[in-house]
Order: sequence, then C-alpha cells, then structure tokens
Amino acid sequence: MNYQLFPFKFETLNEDEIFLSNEAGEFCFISNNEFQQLINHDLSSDSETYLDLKAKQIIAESCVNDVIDMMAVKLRTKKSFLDNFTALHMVVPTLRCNSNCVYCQVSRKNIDSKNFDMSKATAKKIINMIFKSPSPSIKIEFQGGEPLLNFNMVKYIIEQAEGKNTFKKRNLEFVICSNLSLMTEDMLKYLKKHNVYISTSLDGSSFLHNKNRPLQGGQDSYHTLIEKINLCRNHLGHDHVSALMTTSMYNLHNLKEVVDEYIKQNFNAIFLRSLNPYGFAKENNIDYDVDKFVENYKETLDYVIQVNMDGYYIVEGFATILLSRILTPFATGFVDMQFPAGAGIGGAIYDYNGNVYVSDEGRMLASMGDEKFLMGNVHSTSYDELFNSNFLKSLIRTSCLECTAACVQCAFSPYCGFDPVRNYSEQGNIIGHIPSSNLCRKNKQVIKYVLELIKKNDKNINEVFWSWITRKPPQRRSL
Amino acid sequence: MDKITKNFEHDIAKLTINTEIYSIKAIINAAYNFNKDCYLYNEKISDSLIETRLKLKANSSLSLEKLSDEFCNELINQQIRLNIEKEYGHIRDLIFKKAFSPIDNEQNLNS
Repeated sequence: MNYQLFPFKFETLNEDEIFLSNEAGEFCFISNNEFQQLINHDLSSDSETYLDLKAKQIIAESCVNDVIDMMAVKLRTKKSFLDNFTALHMVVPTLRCNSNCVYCQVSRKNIDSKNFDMSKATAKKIINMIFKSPSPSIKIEFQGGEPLLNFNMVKYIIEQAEGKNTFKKRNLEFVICSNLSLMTEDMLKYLKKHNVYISTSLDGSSFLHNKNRPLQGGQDSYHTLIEKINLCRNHLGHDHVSALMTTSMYNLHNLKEVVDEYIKQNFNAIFLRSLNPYGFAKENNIDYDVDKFVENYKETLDYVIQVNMDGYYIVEGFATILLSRILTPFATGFVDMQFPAGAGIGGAIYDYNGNVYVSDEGRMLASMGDEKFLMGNVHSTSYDELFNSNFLKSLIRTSCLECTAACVQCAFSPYCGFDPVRNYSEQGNIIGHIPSSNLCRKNKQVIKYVLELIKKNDKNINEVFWSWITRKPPQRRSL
Repeated sequence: MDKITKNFEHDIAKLTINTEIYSIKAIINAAYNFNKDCYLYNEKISDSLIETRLKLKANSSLSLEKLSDEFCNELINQQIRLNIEKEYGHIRDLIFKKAFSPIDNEQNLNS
C-alpha cells in the first residue's frame, strides 16, 4: 500500500497484541500480524485498523504536510503546560512540626526550635521573587513543618502577596498544607476572608492514620483531624478542603479501607500515592516492593470504579491524570510526573531560610545533607540566576524523554514523566538507569492497567472515567 | 550465518549475531534493556559477527536460557525500531520543529 508511516512507538503486550502510540498520545492496539503488515506496507486500506491508524496520524496516504501540521499542533497543545513557566510556589514558614509521621520526608524540627522559623525579611524577598515569575497564575502553597505553628508568618506572606498582586494582577491562589491539629476558629475566619484552600493528610481509618501520622507525644491524631476537617468545611465550604494519603507498609494492604474512610468523611477525591523514598521514610524501614504497591493499587482502582458505579462519586487522582493524557488532547502538567520535568519550571520551593530548591523532594534531600538541587538563596541570588541558570537548563534538558535511553522508545512515555530528583535519590544520578528504576516499573504497570481498562470499552467504566476527566459526576437515571 | 547461534558455558550464554541483520545500535539498545538482570559483553569476532555474552547477576530470578531467548526477541524489536525510524525520522524532526517554533518562523520551515 502506498502510505507513509508517521512517528510511532510500539510495545509488545502479549504474543498477539501490540500497543502503538505517537507523540501526541494517540494510541491503537493491533495484532502481531497487522503490525507486520503495517511496517511492510501491506496493510489493506479496507481494514478497520488501517482507518484507525490513519485517523490517529500513525499513517498518512496523502497531504503529508497537512498531517505534519496537525501533529505539530497536537504536540504543541500537549506541551502547553510549559507556556507559563513556574506557577506553583511552595513556601515553608517554619520547619517546626507537632507531628511524628513515620514517613516524614522533611526531617522535622521540634516545636520549640524557633530558629527554624522564617523571618519577615526572608518572606519579603520570597514574595518579590515569586512575582517575577511570568506565569499569569500564581499558587502559593504553605508547606512545613506545620505552617500553623507560625501562623503570623502565613498571614504576613498572604498580605504581602495580595498587596503585590494589586499591581501584578495575577490569578493568585493560596493553599495551606496542614495536619489541622492547631487550627482555630479565628484562623479559619482569617483564611475565609483571604479565600485560602486547605490540603490535609488522611491516611485511613483511626488505626491506620494514627499508625502513620501520630502527633508528637502520641496523642490520637485521627479524631482531632476529623473534628478539624468538619470545622474547616463549616467555615470555608466543602470544596475548600482536600486530603492526600500516603501509602506506607501499614496501609499498603488496606487501601480499600482507606477509600472507605474517604467516603465516610464525604471526600470526592483520593490520590492513591506511593511512598517517596526520602527523609524518615528511608530510615524507618516502612518501604515496600513496588510490585506490591501496583498489585494493591490495581485492586483498589477497581474498587473505586465500582464505588462510583454504585452511585458515590469519588475521583482517583493518579488514574485521572493518566486518563486525561490518554483520552484527551489537552495538556496535563503534573510536576511530579511530566516531561520535561516540572523541577523549577513547574514548581519551586522556598525554605524557611530563603533557600530555593527545584522541588520539595530536592529540599528533602538537602535536609539529609545533599544540596544537589539547591538553586540558590533569595538573599543572595537574583531571579535570573535562579530560574535561568545553566544548572536548571541542564536539569530540564536531561529530563526530556525524547532523548532519554529506553524512554525514547517506550510506547507509554507520552503518558509518563521524568523525576530527576527521584532518579538521583534512588540511583545516584539525574538521568537514572531506566531498566532498574522503581518509578518506571510502577508507572509502566499502572499505565498498562489503565489501558487494559480502556480497551474493555465497558460503558459503565467509560462513564466513570469521563466523569473523572471532566470532574463532573455522571448524570444518574431517576428510578 | 543468518541466524543467531547460542552456546551456554557454565553461567554464561554466548550469542553470535550477524551485523548484516542486526545493527550494532540494535545490539547496544537491547543490551541496555537487559543490564538490570545480567552483565553483557560485546565483542567483534569478524567483519560481520558480534559475540554477545550474557552473565546472570547474582540477584536475578531468571534462567539464562529464558534470558537469552528474551534478548533475541528484544533484538528484533530494536531492529524494527531502527528500520521504521529511517522511514519517519525526518518527519518527527519536522513535527517537533513546527510544534516549538515561534509563529514568525513558520514561513522559513515551510520553504
């Protein structure tokens, strides 16, 4: 047949099935026989596969230049998350913390160690730095330590940023990541006035949450958290409070129970998140085999889908990112899993002392004594030196999967991402060794599973998936 | 010699590969994907033959025979990738140039 092959990648799924994808994320499952015909230019133009491949710009019969233009537009759209540069700015008002989490990635400081609080002079420099970003959207996310231990600094930063934004006119948003134990009605009145969002951590039922995230002194953190979540919702509104979970070896085999807890607490989103190997997570021996996580993730994803089919709307975050990348033409920048990497250009973190790191994980490594991902300090480094540095350029250049060994050939790469800090932490260098990378192993298996579910073409599963992508609960038929 | 010959000596599998069928790039790419489970040594033994030796790492759960069979399959995939790359590589370059060029440069790309 007279057709032109367009760029695509392939992966053998089993003896008779091959998965094809292109740079824009268009994909196709074809038989081994059809694959042979395709590459030998023998594929019949009458076949459904031929028409499918043509529709997805994996082959073109004529007007090759037009198809190139179309592919360029699709690729540009997929990468449009790069257009606006750094939008996420994480700020650490204090390293002090009253939690004693088993997997703490920051190596927290005691609550009376006030020399780990941010000063006003540092905060002012940070705000100036943040507003030098060209991004039309600025999200300031307070991280810790526990930010509420230095609430006066949180207020100072919010007010400084709002003052600056009177002239800068950005789409400014605030989020506090907190264990909520110290939240008071007065704080909430302030946060309501300034439209601040809350992101907290909920790792499961009372037993699981207390096991993973005890307070210092061993008090029951779970019941305090639930009480404070409700208090926050009453003041700020239901949609202003979200929660994240982390999988340790304690809740690894109880992920369905974690989902049940999210439902019990009326959450409509959960992100089944594996452990990051930093800080105390590395020392406390609470890590687990990546295959075990994937096995439990798959079972729990099925469970979440079933819960949705049964009428309770709850989005699973990791699958939703993948589904958006697989099923829509739109860009989905997610700093932990995108390429080029989000390090510095998607998000940056400003520590209590003004040190700036490419990511929270970079800060975690620094707390373990390795300052590889320190970009500079707001007191001594200019914006240009921080964000236009050879270090950052080199980091981003190496994080393009189009030129990374193994990833360059991987048919799942259009849906995946690159994490230079994780590679460095786990494997000793930024590029990493992909065949032995746990992150690659996890992502590949989860992507394959999501593709399997898509391939089923089950009406009910599809309805759930699209409700996740569009963030709109499906319309239920009235009984 | 058209087909790959396999010999096993103690804990080493020796594959003799014809470079008129499989390019050195395909052999290296395949070797990279296998260096998690085994040590690989490539040696040119004539103008058209490469000997690849696979030695299992101590922690590998795979058998040497299965590993060498998988390696042969991987060689085919790698060679196919290189073959089709020849057909569409220039198109991919053009797509990337167009996708990430400022609009002002569009005319130059088309000329």
